[in-house]
Amino acid sequence: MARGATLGLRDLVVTGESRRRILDVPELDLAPGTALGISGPSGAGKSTLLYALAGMAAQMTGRIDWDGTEIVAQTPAGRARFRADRIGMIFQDHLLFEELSALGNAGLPALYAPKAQRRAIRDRAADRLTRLGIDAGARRVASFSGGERQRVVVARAMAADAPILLADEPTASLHREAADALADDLMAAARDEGRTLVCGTHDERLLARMDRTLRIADGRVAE
Amino acid sequence: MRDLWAGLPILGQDLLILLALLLPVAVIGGALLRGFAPWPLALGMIRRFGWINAVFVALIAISVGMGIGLVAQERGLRRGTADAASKFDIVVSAPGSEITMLLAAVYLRPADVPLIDGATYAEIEADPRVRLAAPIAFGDSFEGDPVVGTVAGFVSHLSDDTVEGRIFEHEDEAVVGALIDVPLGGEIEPAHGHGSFVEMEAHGDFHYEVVGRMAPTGTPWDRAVLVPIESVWSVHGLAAGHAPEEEGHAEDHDEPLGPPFDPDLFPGTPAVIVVPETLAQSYGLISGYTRDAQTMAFLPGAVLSQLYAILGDIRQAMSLMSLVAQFLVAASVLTGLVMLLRLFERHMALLRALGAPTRFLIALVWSYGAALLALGGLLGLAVGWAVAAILSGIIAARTGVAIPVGLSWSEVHLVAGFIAATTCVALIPAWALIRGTTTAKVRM
Repeated sequence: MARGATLGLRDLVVTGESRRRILDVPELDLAPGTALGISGPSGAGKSTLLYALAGMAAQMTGRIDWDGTEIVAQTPAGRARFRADRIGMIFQDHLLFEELSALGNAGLPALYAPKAQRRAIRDRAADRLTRLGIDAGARRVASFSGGERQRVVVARAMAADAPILLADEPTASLHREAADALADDLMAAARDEGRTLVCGTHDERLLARMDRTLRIADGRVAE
Repeated sequence: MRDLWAGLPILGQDLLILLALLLPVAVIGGALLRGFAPWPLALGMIRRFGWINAVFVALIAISVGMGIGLVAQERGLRRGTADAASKFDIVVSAPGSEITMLLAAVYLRPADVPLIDGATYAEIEADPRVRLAAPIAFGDSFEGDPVVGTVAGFVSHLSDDTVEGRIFEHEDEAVVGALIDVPLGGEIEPAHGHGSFVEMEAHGDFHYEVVGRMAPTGTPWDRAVLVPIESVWSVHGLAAGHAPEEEGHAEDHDEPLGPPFDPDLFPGTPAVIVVPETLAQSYGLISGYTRDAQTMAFLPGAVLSQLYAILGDIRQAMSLMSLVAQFLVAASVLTGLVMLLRLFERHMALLRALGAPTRFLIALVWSYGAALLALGGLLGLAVGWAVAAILSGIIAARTGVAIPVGLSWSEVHLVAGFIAATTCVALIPAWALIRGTTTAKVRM
């Protein structure tokens, strides 16, 4: 799969309940392989932008063009297909299926992928877990530490070999050491393989390592 | 088409019905699961709340099992009682209730009934259509089990000549049923009466020696002590059926046993079991010995089928009630599942966020629910078998009628129908849950 994706975003407006505008981004372009950090106070719209980029905002207008595929106008099912193919999502609360092993969780996308791709997804998940220093074996993730869990989430995001990584506060629930280790992993994943990474975070040390940063305050681009 | 169906072997018909019942499950499962492998997640969901899921499965298994068990038991009861009556081709007795007579003569449930006199018995015995005319006399008991007076021919008829030891040849000898716990050579002291009206010592110190034991027959007669009818008469101070032999002739006390009896010295018998020479003669014999105010004759099998007809109505009512109960349990389990699935809402939202198609989510929730329902249904078959076995044990202990325990195709079909119907219904909660899930839930 081609490494990295190009983003062309125009006039994105996301509305929430009672038609209130909660995010307004007139323009955002990313070259393939760029690592973009989004900063800003809580509730300012960082997560909303990430969810819009993933095609998960309920009501939005404008254009979000990933590598020539416009997703705003697509149906929810079409966007889901796009996510499955092209986007790896990393959430702050490292939501995992507790009864599965690390490999079971990291290889989750294999369960609904076409049969021909399942093996490759599982192999990549196992490979990624090894590189992240996680024992893929039979141990259930219920007993994992926060840092270990978040690395399983990173492995899951990359198992489908997506060219786009979207991360929402990936280090928020980790202590400093684990947060730095995870930042290393994320940056390596983006840099070594040229993925396009968009990362919403409060973590200054993580922001400092990004190629570019975008500050959002009160639903608007602040700088 | 109908001819084609009728031409199929029974097994083929049963298999086809089973496949037809399971077809909806296969169609839904196939349509939902095609191209997906949600099993690891479904198993994970089952393990996550293992105890609750186990309770759900147990509830389904018990409700299905009770229904299955009752149906299987009812069929076994019919077969067992019919088998127990199979050696009793025709019963001739004084006029009265056929059912009372059936219970007394075949199932050894004692009742006070009028007697048939010697002349009538002699007439039956001499009838050329009759192969065996066995008088049976009851009223005495041994440790709660009936002592039945009859003739040697009936013992060999009842046991198919599989008597360990030999059949009685003297008045003080007895053949015991398979379940009577007295060894060959042991002694049996008869008591007068039955149940709580037993009078011990009523018959002086008269006792029998056990000379034979019948192989198990699966009938109440396994718990009976069979003795020469002459001895029953004589211990009750009645005539012994035969003219006393001339003095001095007796080398030993080799008194005659069995037919022919002297009609004038025949004290009477409550019932005569008649085995015809050929089956076709049964109806002629029945009409011949159905005489107002003198005798009645009936086929135990025919009386049983009247009883079964009544039982059949009860069974249908029971089946309906158990079906309703099963669906109520299934409905409450599905409702419980919906509540349980709320706990997985964030995981569903996560799967959506990762890009899993809606059909995958429905397939996941449906296979989770269907697995519990199918497992419960299959365990229900086992529970049903156990329920039937326990009921059979109780009935056998109380009546001596051996009731075959087994599951038939109708029970398998019942379970298949239950699984098919409930797994179809399980689509509704799956669909409702998925509709209510948005990716927004993942952010909480």
